[in-house]
Amino acid sequence: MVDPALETPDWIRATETGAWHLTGSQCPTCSAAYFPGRRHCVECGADEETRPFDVGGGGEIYSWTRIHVGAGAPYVLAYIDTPSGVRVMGRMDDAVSAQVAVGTYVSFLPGVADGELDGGHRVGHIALMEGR
Amino acid sequence: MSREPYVLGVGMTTFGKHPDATLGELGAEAVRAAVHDVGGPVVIDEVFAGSALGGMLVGQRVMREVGANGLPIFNVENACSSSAAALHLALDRVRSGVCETALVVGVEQLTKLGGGPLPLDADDWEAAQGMVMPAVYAMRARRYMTETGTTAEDLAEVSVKNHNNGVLNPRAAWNKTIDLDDVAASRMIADPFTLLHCCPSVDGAAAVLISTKERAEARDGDKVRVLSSVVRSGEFKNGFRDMTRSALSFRAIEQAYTEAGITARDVDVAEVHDAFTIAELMYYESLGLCGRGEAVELLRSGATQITGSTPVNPSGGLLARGHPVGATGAAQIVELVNQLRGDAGAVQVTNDPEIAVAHCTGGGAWGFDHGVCSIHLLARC
Repeated sequence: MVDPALETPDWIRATETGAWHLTGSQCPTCSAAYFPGRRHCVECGADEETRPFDVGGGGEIYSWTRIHVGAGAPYVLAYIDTPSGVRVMGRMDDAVSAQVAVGTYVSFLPGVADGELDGGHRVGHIALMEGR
Repeated sequence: MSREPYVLGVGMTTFGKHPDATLGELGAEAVRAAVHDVGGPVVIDEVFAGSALGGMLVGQRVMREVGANGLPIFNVENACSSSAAALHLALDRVRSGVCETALVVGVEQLTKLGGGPLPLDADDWEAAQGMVMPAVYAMRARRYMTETGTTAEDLAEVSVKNHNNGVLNPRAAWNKTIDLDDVAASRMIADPFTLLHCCPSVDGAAAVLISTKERAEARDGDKVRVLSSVVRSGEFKNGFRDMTRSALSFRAIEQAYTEAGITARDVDVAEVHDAFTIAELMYYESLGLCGRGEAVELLRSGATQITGSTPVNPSGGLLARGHPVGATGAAQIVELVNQLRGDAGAVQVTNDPEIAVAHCTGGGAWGFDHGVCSIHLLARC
């Protein structure tokens, strides 16, 4: 279910099946993929601008940690290796973390900030959920 | 004409809390100690000041306090490698003959920032996800543990070694002997790291005077020559990267060994960037002290203890000396020069060292394994 009030930035979108996919960019010349997207390729330095690229809806945890210091702690950070070859950092709420491990498949979701500033509708980070 | 640069004098403050000093006063204390170490009059031609978070005109604020004004001053920011990068530039100026004697000073006052993890750029993509420096190293550690079978207790052995070295070092922030239970019982920061797996953010300053062979020979005792100086930056990568291996450190160290015409076997003592316990193990491998996955074995063999065959971080390293970010690179040089001269007191290594390596990194921007890596090779002569 997509919350109609959710202000989704251009790097995450709901697919027809209800899954969330990240949008990065890809170089039309050398096919290097990026997330977050960037206007120009830094691999081949092509003049031609990159194009939007579907990073996919999730991937496997490369590594993770639970952070106990700083704003919003505790929370879990993880690097996710996507099938598109891009590594993405995402964030889990603490309750989910007990079930995660290196190699676990997680899906991307729009991560909403605590809502102090904007009523909780602004997507600020990538939230992770175990499973597909 | 190219000239070989020598270390003329070194000095540093104690690392820890210095709430009553200004940044300039703190830096000046280190500069005075370095000048005093020379033991005679010193004419400084140029100043290279390293600081990551000290604000504008750090070198001017330091030199104002020692009463040496009007010199060419260059302020260098390169995260944790700030004063190591400043040293690199100073060495070039002496080597090229532009100046006779250059002063390097690194200074940082982190306790005035309120403690906790270092502040990162608010526009940084990963900082927006909640990334903090301990998290990056914690993820390196978890992956390293997964791939090599290393345990959190193995990592804690690094903490015990370095903190107990620090107890012997009057310049170190840490002054209490610890054991594995203390490491496990300290509060959780970013698992598998408890507090004692992480270096403390402290205040401190260190200074190094670089000059020519002729100047250095005027000083009594052993001389220390700089064999090579390498500063490299990380390569941006958005794809999969092996986080258990510091590719940047491998590159920088290989270049430094090649330039100096030595190999890892020639290294007698090292100060490495142990910002977190896992880092020291990774850098054993980067330095070539052991092979892939053999770091824990090397540590457990005792080889990297003060009394070992290749002591690493006899000063206590960042874990125990403390990590005043921009001052760390210069402080490593101070410690190693003392080791090579045989002046290191209670932390003096026992293998009569002739060649020392200082390894310093710097991070905090997404897309790099590290932002920067600096290597300095020093030789007694």
